[in-house]
Amino acid sequence: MRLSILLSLTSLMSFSSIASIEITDNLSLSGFASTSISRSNNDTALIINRGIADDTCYDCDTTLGLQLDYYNEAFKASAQLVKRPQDGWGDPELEWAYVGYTVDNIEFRAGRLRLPLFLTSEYYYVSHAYTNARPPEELYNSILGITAYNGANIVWNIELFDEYQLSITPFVGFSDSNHLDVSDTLEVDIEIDKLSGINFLFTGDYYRWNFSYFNADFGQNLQFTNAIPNVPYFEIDLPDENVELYSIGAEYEFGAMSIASEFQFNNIRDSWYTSASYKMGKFIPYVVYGENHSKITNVSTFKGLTGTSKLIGVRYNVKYNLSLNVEWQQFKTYGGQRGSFVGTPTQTDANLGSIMLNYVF
Amino acid sequence: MFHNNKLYEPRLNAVFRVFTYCLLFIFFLGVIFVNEASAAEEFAIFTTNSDFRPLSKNKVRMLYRGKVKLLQGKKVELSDWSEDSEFRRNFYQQLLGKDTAQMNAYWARLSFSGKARPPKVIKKDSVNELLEWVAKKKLRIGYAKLDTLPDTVNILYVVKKEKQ
Repeated sequence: MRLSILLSLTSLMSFSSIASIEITDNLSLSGFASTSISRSNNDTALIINRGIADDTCYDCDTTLGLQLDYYNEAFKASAQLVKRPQDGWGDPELEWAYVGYTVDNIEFRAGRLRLPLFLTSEYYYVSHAYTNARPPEELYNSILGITAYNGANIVWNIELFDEYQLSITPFVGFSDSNHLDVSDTLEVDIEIDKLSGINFLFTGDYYRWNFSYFNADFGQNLQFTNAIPNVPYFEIDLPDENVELYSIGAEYEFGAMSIASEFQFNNIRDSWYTSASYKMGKFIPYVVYGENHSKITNVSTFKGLTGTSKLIGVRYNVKYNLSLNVEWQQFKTYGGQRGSFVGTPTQTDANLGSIMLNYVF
Repeated sequence: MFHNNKLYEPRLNAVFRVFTYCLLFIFFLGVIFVNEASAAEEFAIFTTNSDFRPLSKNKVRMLYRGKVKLLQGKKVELSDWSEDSEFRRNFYQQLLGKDTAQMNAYWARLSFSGKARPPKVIKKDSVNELLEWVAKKKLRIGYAKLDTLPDTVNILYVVKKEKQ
């Protein structure tokens, strides 16, 4: 069913290759895609939901998204179907499907919505929209790569002195299920009971500041297959869990130079990254550094630094809507922890090389 | 190639070093050769609705960055020239200091996070086509070279020539 929707929407892409397709004045179709060739030198896979190991991988980052928007005066309806890196082609995810109604500067939305936690969260799958090939793993996988929820939000946009905008988004979510294939030996089912939070985004002429608070009650079931010698299968059930997360981040542009940094603190782990890029015509070289810190919880007895990563890369804008990333990233883990790997690696370090192509229409 | 970490580590470090040198080289080339200064033209942001008052530079910048959707309490619709248009390239370069690829990435952020609808691209790159589109509704806004517009339009802001 979902595949047929995806295929029929994809066939519409041939109508235009330059911009979103205006099907009527009120209805438009737009989309984004990314694909990569990537390889690490460690047999333990890197990055949840992407799982890049020491075999050349042609589909670890493959993403295709199609978005249908309907506008009618104050009313809006929008749906986004995404084949995320972890999804098969026949099983894309409805990342959002909501209806919205705007009164002055306030928009009310209900349905399936994107979690607005970090600067890039709401366009996480659109690599063309940010400089790096992937949003920094340390931060963006801090809640296991969950990006959407079922519920409602209010987006209140406040203009300040003709020059600044403050966007306040409180949100609530209800029951939802997420399944994660973390590694060959671990699968996790996450049942969200309820979640709530608030996001503040302050935008100036050349900068953005982002603050979020997020709280969720959830249960998780961890299924281990051949994780321990002589134990083919076992499960750990953690029915009454809670995650509470605070984040702060900022992004500044100084002419051709951009810098960004984000921190998140939650009751399981803290993480942060900082990045810098410099635009020179069609080339944008960039560097990123990130860290993961674990806390003592019912699933972890380790406190302290668990992983770091250093990234150096360059983006080339082939066309206004087509970009190429070439990246080299070094990961390290500490204290026998997994860091940015999907499981604890035997070798503690990894080098990851990636070439990624990104497109939007 | 990557099967034994210890054996291949020096080689990988060398690759990493070469990659870093390549990036520095690109950086060096960019500093020498990149000249993004564009031909300066005067663009007028206009509407056919005489109720709208002139806009400040900050307001116009916010408008074309999708941060302001209401003018005098009314939701406006923006138009744009085609992505390949030189007008469009020069307009955004002069108003916001961004090239077409940067603006495209910027609007991708807004559009794929459901925050704003990109400006409507007119069917044909012509002032007449644009004037016709703008005149159809009272809340529509366009931009064009100042000297190509008739006196009847209400000019909200003129994007001035920048020092080269």
